[in-house]
Amino acid sequence: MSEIIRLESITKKFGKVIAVNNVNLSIENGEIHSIIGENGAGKTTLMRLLYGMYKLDSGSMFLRNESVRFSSPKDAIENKIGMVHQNFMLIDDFTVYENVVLGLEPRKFLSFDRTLAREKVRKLAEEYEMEVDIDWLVGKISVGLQQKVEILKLLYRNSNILIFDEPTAVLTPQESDALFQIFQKFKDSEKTVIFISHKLKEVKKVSDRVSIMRNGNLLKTFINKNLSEEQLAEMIAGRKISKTIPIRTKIGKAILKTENLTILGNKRIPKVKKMSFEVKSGEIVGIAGVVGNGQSELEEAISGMRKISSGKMIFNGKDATRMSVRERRELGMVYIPEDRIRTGLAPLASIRDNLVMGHQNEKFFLGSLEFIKRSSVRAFAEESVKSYEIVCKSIEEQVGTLSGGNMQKVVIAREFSQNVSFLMISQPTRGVDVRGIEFIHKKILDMKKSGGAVLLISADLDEILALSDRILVMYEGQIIYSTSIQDAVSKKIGLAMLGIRS
Amino acid sequence: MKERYKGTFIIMVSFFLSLIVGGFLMMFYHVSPIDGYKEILEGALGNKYLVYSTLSRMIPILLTGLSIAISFNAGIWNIGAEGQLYLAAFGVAALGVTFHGIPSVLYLVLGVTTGLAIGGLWAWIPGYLRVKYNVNEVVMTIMLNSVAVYFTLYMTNGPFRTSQGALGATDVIDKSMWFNHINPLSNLNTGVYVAIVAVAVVVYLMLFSKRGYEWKVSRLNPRFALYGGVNVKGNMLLAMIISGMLAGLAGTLLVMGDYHRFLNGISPGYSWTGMILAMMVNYDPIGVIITSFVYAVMASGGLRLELELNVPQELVQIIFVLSVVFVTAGYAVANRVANRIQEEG
Repeated sequence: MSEIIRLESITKKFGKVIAVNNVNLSIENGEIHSIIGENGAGKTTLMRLLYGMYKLDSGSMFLRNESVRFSSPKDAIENKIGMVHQNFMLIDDFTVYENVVLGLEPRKFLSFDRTLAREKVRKLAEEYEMEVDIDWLVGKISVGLQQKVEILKLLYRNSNILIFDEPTAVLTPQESDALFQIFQKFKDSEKTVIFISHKLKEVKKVSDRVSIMRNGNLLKTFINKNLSEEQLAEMIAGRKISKTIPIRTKIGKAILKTENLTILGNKRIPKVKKMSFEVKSGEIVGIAGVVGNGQSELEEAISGMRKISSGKMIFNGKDATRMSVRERRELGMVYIPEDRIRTGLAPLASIRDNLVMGHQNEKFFLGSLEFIKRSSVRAFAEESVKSYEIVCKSIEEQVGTLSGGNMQKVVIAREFSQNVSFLMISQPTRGVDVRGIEFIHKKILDMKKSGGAVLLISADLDEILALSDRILVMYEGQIIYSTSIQDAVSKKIGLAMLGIRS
Repeated sequence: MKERYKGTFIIMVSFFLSLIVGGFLMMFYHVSPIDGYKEILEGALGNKYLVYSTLSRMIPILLTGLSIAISFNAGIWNIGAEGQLYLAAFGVAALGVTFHGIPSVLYLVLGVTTGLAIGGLWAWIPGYLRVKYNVNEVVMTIMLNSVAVYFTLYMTNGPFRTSQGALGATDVIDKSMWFNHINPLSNLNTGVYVAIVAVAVVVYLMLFSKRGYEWKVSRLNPRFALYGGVNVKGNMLLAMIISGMLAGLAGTLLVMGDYHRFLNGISPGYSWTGMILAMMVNYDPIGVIITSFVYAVMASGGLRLELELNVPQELVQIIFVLSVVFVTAGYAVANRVANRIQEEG
């Protein structure tokens, strides 16, 4: 095999932060090369440098032994490098084939040659065995299929080097497997795949070689076969990772109970249909399911942000169906939403203002005449920043200027600083690094140990399996499958996530 | 630089720059800028009576400025302060010409309460429609401005037309409803005390109370506020009502303190000036107090500038508008620089 990309002493700084520090990397033609590391380790930045989205501060890049310098993604695309981003760049109201050819449409005289476009896209999909109906509107198809459209876009542009930035974060296990099969196809046709991930299992499964990044440095590149999963995990974190050990606790009375819960979505269509379940104290109930099957609506309704249109919800022995968010919080409900930045924070407000949200009615912060006790707020914020190790200049700094990991800490610091009997946490590991996951999982287990009830909503099946006592699978707004952890079979759950009852 | 000092810095620099440009303009009239600005300062603050006049000029701008600030800060856009001002002013005048023989103290309280109520109610309509049916409050309040202004225009030319002369105005209101002048040589009247109380309440609400915190966060991210247990809609409606009350109070004081009647064109666009000031200082109530004072100084001094040095008083308007332009540009430049620092280091 011959070397296709060589990076030499690449460095990139953002302000005073060194995102990528003196990285050397060599990628061979036709290999599947994984880059793994914690959040903020510099994986994405490195790839964006390669893709021309950022400019190099220093160092040099070689493509097939020729020195190159990209000033925009256009240059990278011309050199047959393509990237599938974490957030797709597709137009919902266009069909699959229209999205694929957009910007490079085949023409007949002056008009868009649709027949030829459809033919070309169909052929590409066939060649790589991707089952996509090219005439569907992109907005109507699942996230897994949308990703395939993104891949088709790259193939249509004849990319030889394909960069995937955390592609499996949004996929079911089955969909991930399908993606890895496509990787193999690429390999067979001598295309190079660069796979960014922080999921060890996947990296172990598909890679030829693995490069490990930590704190902006590229530690080393290994041949995948020579490395065990444990070794890999330790190298990523720079220390030993304690595995979460399931603990047995006494399961008590129901903290949350829903009866025939029906919830309307944004388009006034029921997204949750007659759902009944219980979460008992000392118990973690995991809701598995592909994103978009009513989980968001369910969470919002339980937290009080969305109206329950019919059915009943009992919380801590009280009818909470019509309670406000504030009342539910005061009864001991804590909710860590999926979208921590859009829902869990006000990025333009200060760290202090973000930390005190939800606590502003507590006696500790509220004086007579609704005066806010500024000194208490300050002390609380300073204390939280210290004990959760939030890296910031001061508590006056805007939350939006913090790194992703630190923003997460602000949410967690705030939510765990009150008396809690029920925790609802959604996609806890999304956008969180190995160390963060460890911390969050420990918090969840602590809750359970102290007799709290936890509702864990996650698309990451491994996480659900690692933590839950009971697992419910949600599909199109209903519980399609439920099992205790003892009887759980991951294959069955994966199928149920796709709507297949076994 | 710290975020909150950045704004202050930009405003100071902008104001200074526009003063420099204003100075050049003075030179066209063969007036030395130093003399010109000295005249302005003397004309506005030269003696006690002039200070009083300047303060009385400041009050309606200050109140409308705070009206805008409190609503914009809460993320609900009351563009209807002008209409609320007109309608409240007219309502108070209508009260004052209709009833007589009420003891002064009671009448003053009644007048102010009426003004607050009318302003608040007129703002409540678009506020309620917004939180209940998601009707765009910007469009609504702009429309309601016209409704209010033309309604009062009709009333002053119809049922409430003054019997004395052809003026588009109501009769003079009952004397016991007047806020008396503190000094016969200036327009400043005892209504200023009401204004001071109102300002204190606004400053407390916006800067020191729980409500102010919730307003600010709701504006920055309503979804986050909802998640945190804030009654976002209730708070929005409350901000809208208080905003309307402040605009109404501005109109009330103009009637009860300054003109003692309602007249067409009672506000030469106070609320628009107030809006510009509020936006310039990013809805900070203290900022509104300072800028409306500076604005009043410039406006008062401009008269003297024209009288003494033959420089048109519109010059101060130019200076004011220029500082707005500079502030806007200043924020844009600052953001750009900040972005570049973040991107490139």
